[in-house]
Amino acid sequence: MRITNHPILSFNERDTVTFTYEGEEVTANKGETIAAALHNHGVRELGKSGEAERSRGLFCAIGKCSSCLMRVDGVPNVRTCITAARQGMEVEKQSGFPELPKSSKKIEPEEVASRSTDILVIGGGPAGLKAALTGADAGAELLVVDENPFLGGQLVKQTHKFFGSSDQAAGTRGIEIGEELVNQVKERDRIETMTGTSAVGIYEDTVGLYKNRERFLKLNPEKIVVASGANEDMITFPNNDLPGVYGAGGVQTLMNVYGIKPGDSVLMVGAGNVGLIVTYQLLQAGVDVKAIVEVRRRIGGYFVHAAKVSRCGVPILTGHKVLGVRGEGKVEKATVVKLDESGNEISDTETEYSVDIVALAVGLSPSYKLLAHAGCELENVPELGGYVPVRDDRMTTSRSDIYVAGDAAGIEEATAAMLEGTIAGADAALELGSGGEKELQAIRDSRGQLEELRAGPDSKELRTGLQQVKT
Amino acid sequence: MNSRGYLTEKEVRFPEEEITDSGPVPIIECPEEIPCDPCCENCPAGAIEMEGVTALPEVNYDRCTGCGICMEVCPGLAIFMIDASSEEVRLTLPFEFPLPEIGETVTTLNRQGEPVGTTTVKEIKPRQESAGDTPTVTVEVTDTEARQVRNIRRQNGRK
Repeated sequence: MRITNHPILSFNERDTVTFTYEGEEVTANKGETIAAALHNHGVRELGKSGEAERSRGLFCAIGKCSSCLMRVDGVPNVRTCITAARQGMEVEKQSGFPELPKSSKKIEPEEVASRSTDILVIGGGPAGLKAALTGADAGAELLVVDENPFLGGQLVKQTHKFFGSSDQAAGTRGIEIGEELVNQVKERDRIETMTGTSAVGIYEDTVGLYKNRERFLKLNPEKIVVASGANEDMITFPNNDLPGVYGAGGVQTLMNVYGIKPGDSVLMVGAGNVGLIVTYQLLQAGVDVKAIVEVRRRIGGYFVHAAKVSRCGVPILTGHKVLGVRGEGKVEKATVVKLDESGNEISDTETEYSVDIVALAVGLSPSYKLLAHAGCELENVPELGGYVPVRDDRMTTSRSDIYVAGDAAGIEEATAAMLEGTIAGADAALELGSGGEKELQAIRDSRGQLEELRAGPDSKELRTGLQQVKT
Repeated sequence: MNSRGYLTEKEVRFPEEEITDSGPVPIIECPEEIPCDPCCENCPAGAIEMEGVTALPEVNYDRCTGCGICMEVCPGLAIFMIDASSEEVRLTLPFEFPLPEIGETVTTLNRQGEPVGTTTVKEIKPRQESAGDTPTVTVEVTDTEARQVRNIRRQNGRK
């Protein structure tokens, strides 16, 4: 169902396209992804797993988890959550490891030599866009690639106003910060952008880019900024793979990017900032949230976010966990149990909720795989969310031509991502002989602001984690 | 507070009666040191003091003119305006949901979302008129309710 009345966002009537799903006609808004359109059409099961033949559905909605793979125009393993629906497309469910089509056209690699790219930025979120802007203003030529159909990363769905100090756009909604960054990038002649484009590998001096599932490009940039973001985490409980168990970010993408109601009734798991914010946004979209379940005994997110959902009557059940979910091909019920001080289940405290969505906001892990492929030295730092590259105070990894910025460097907020992007973009440009005092000053200022952001008692773990990856 | 997600009445630092009786003043329910300072930075009277971006805001009620800009710019929607200068207390709440109409009867809710009573909407300030892009709703409540009510719900399932 489409959201019609929203206090912050407006979803205007858009042009539509029609595609087929298992032979049946489905209408999508122009620019909408296949998975979003199918969700709106009521389809929850997008495929089946291999031998066990378990239902597979959407989870992250940003191309990270591969739970939404389908066959599109005969080609299997298409990530339908980041592939825009096109007129006349044929979409089918797939099972397990599908066979490749026999008559598929071979894609020849193309050398991209026509344009000199000084700096390649992988990821068009807050970190990547800031890196690009800073690099371009210093005089470098840049290419920004992103897998999604649009730039802006996760800012495009952050309808809440940001915290931070007034120098960091505090009080501005994330969506507006995103729009502003994208507009600035479009104004810069030195920045080229490619959406729908995956960086599939970083070799010694070549990067492979797969564009719109049609072209394979080989690029030789001088410097690379990896701002690949993060993946949503999963937790274990019976039937956690049932369609309707969605990442909280996936739920947010459906409602705030595509204006589609994720469901009628939601159980949120995790009371960190993501869980609290997405709960509030679900309420704004007119979706009922039964409760927020948090395994720890305290709310991890900011108090003010918790207060906003509390005064709407959503209980935050700390010291509770999800026992399991069930339903025919999709989530219909979820059971929650109370835990004692040592984390053991207390008998006879189970509560069953009738919900069609269980949203998981149980943490994020840095998307480190390209960095691993490139041979950057990584450390597993739980305080930063998992594997992250070691780096110096200019965000240079163990490979002097590769920088990291944003959530890929450790899970933090968009404000920190933008500051890290600024540092990476400024230093990459300086290393290439562009820029000067202005860039040095930008690095000093951003470092100062990062220090201030990370100064609070809430950031204690983060500070410990950052110490471990400093070179 | 960290296990509940809302403040109890006792935990809120409510200004003295002589201050709320003098006209609209902000009640700031921001008990956690997070990096955030728009209330302090945007106060035209310099009435909100903070020692650094993660410090808790302190209202200097002698300076406060009751303009409500702090409430409208607060990213956490944690500031409410109270005006007890007449018999019925006027309470202004940040409200980011589909707006009710002036004169509409609404249910008042406390910090846990439990119903407190009913009242009618006196004033609406849509986003476009807000200093900080946050719509607000003003309702009249009793003195006691002013300490409890922090949200409203539209009736008859109107959303």
